[in-house]
Formats: sequence, C-alpha cells, structure tokens
Amino acid sequence: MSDKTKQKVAFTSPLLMAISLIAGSVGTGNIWRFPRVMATNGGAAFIIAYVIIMIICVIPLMMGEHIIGRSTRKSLPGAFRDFMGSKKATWFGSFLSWVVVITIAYYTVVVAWIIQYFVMSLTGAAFAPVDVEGRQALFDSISQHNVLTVVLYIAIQAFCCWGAYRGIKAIENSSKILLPILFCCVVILAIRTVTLPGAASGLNFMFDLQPAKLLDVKLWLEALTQCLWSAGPGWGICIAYGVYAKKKDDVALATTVQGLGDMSVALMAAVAIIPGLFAVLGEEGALAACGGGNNGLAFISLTGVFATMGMAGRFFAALFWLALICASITSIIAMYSIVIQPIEDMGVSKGKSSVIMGVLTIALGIASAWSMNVFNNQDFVVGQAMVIAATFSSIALMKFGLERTRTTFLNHPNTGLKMGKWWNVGAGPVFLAAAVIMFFWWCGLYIGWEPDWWKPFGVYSLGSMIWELGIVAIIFAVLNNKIADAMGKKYFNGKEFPDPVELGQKDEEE
Amino acid sequence: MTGTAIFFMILLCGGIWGTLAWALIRTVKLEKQNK
Repeated sequence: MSDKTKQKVAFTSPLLMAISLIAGSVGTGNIWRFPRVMATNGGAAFIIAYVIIMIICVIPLMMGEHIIGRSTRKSLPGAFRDFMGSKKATWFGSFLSWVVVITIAYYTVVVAWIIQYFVMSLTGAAFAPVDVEGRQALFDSISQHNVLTVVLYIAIQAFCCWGAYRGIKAIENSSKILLPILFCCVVILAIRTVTLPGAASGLNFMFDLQPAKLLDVKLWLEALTQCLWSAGPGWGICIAYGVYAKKKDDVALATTVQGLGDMSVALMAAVAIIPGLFAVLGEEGALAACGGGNNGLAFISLTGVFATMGMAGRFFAALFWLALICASITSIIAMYSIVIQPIEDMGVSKGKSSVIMGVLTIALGIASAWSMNVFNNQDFVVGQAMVIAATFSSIALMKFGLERTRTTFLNHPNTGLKMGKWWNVGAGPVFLAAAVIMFFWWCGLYIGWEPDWWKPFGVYSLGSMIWELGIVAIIFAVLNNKIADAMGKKYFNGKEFPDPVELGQKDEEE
Repeated sequence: MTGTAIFFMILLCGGIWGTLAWALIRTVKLEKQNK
C-alpha cells in the first residue's frame, strides 16, 4: 500500500470519537420520523418506552458491536469471522455490509430531494403552491422522473464516498462541523415553534402522560422500531468505528454518549416540529400531518406550516432542511466508510475500494432516484434487512460469551462506566427476542397491506424482500470461504484489544 | 399546559439532555486522566 493511500488509523480523542458516532447515528430518522411516530403513538408514553428500550437493550448491543470492531480490528466480514472464531461467520458480516450498501443507495435519494427543497425555500418556490394538492404535486415532480434529482443523487454519492475515502480525519472534521450546525438549526427552530401562539397545546400533547398507553403492545413495537432504525445497530457503524478506537478508549461511555446524542436530537426535533404543527394546523390537522408518513410530514405539511410565517418562514424552512442535510450527509459518509472497509481488508487500495463501492451504490440507487415506487420498495426492504442484521451482533456476542465479553472487554481497567450483569441479558436474549418479534410484526403488517405478498415485484410485497435478500444471502454463502480467506491477518486474541492497525494487512505466511 | 405535562417535559428532556451533558463531561475528564 502506497503512502498516498495510507489512512490514519485511530480517532484523535475519545470526545471526537463520540461526536463522530453521534453524527453517524443521527439522520433523518431522528428529525422527521421520531416526531411523527411519537405524536401518533401516545406522546410521553412513547418517549418513555423509547428511552427504556434504548437503555435496556439497544445501547448495550451497540457497546457489544463496538467491542467486536475494536477487538478484531477488521471490517464487518473479518470482524464476524474472528470474533465468532469460524469462517462460516464471515457470512454475517458480508450480509450486513450489503445491507449498508443498499441503504446508501436509496437513502441518498432523500438528500437529493432535501437539497432542492433547501434551495426552493430560500427562493420562495417551495411556498408557491397554496394548498396540499399543489404541494403534493411539487413533491411528485421532484421525486418522480426528475433528471435534476438523479444528477444531485450522483453528486451527493460521489461527495460522501470522497469524504469516506479521506479517512478517519475527514470523518472527524465533517462531524465537528456538521453536528454543531445541525444542533444549532434544531435549537433555533425549537425556540421559534414553542413561542408560536398555540404551541403550548402541542407541548401538552407531547408530554401529558397517559399511563394506560404504556400497556399498548404496538407502542412498544413502534418504539423498538424507532430505536433500531435510528440509533445504529443493524448497519454496523459501531463495529466499523470501533476499528478506529484506541486501545484504552472507553467503550461503554462512548456508546452511551452515542445513544444519548441520538435520543437528544430526536427529542429536540420533536419539540421543534410538533408544537409548530399544533399552532398552525390545530390538533386534528397536526395528527393528520403526522399520519401522512415521513414524506407527507416534511415535504407537504411542514412546508405548509413554514408558508404561514411569511418571509421568516423561508429562513426557518431553510434551517430545517439544512439540519436534515447535515444529519444525512454525516450518516452517508459513515455508511460509506463501513462498506469501503471490507474491500480494503481484501488488500485493495483505499482509492480503488472507494471507487468500487461508489460506482456500485450509485448504480444500485439510480432506480430509486428515478421512481418513487422503487424508492418505497427499497425503504421497506432495507428496514427489514436492518432488523435481521441487528440480530447478528447479538448472536455473535452470545457465541463468544456475554459474560466473557463484559468482563474481558467492556469493564476494562480504563473504563469510566462499568456495566453490571444486566448488560448480558439486555445485549443478548432480550434484544434478540425483541428484534425477532419486531421482524414478524412488520411482516404481518406488510402482508395485511399487500395480500399478494409472495409476488416479487409489488412495492410493499414481502416477496420482493425475500427474493432480493434471499439471492444476496445465497451469493454470499457460495462465496463465503473466498471472502473469509481474503480478509487477511487476524488480530483478535480473545483477551485484550489490539492496537489500531491499517486495514488490508495480509498474514505473514501469505 | 397541565402539571403532568410540565413534570414529564422536565423529567424527559432534563433527563436525556442532562445525562448526555454528564457523559460528555465524563468523557473529557477521562481523556485527561488517561493522557
């Protein structure tokens, strides 16, 4: 590997690692999905369920994922191979990597829409339509068969791929800049919306706890879904960033900061959005807006709310879109760094690995950028694939031994946050059971929405997910030994964290 | 706003944001200790 392609191998400091982890985790799911789902699922009761699930099983699992990355110093396929001590386990990491590839491919499309709305908010074009139908038509014209969307999509992909190619320092720098901008935008929006006349009714709706709602199973499943799709288990960020952590850095504290940062932005975004909707649309209108899905809320309803604020609305709308741009760009750069790693681990230079993954993800997502039906299908497939992928880390930790993981790696001498035996239960059986229930619950919902569920080409057809993920699973199973052998040198010793290393090192005998 | 809403707003927002601030301060302190 030439000097030019050599990367810096570790985060500069634990604080910058924590900031980078938050920046990677926080995405559009925090800013427009959390407020919407929270409002339609019981407000305070939902927030309580969300916090409990995060603390009991999601953050503990993310700690485990961090340990898998840091103790193996390998990309996802190599990390599973070494941590589980079996070549067969490479398949888990390969599948997980693929989930991240298809996530980048469709998720970047959203950023292409957001950038256009950001510009249209500044020029006022976003507020030209005077009614819901007009705003829907505007959104349709951008999300369907729009050449500019495709061009922007390719440009954003190229930019984020370049960001990941620049290595861990670029990830730190982009997080240092974009995360504070995101926080400032959301805080300014929150201050504006809670001072609108009538905003108190929205805050009251959010925080007036109805204890009976805590008995609703659907509320808990929705809260679990939000935790899984937003925080990061299931797309490998903790494993990938754990590779770059120094030997003495604190696993438990860094991952706790990540989880709390993710929750903080989500809650702040809810305070920024829900009171504004109540103030302008009233309770009935606000709940209808939240029931209109992520796109309906952001591109139709909120645009309508900003339109009522006159010239100031342009400024606040631009802030909202800017916050989403910051949130999504940092997530896409993080995802790119995850999928570039396995190619690097095979001994390919970082530059070539970046080009390979960039071209692959752009090619896979062009159809989503062109057609809303393909986008919606991929949104559904990726959501389910992430749930499947999240269980892999839990299985890996159980295979190695949860108690062994906790005592050997988690509660190491330099840690500032020791975990008790409850961690073993949360990261293992509790998470696994919750994820399995959630997966089948969503499958049941999709079968209800599309009864011909076995058809491979329906937008929300379960068959499309089975075919797509099934074919990928078989391909990785066939290639498994070749991928495992290509992953190179093993650093994992089961006793302590190795020092950070450059990816792509081969065994000495090779 | 009702008293319950104010209580839970302070509890949930204060709890999450406060714990995040504590964890960030602890991270910085540990970093200095480990240097």
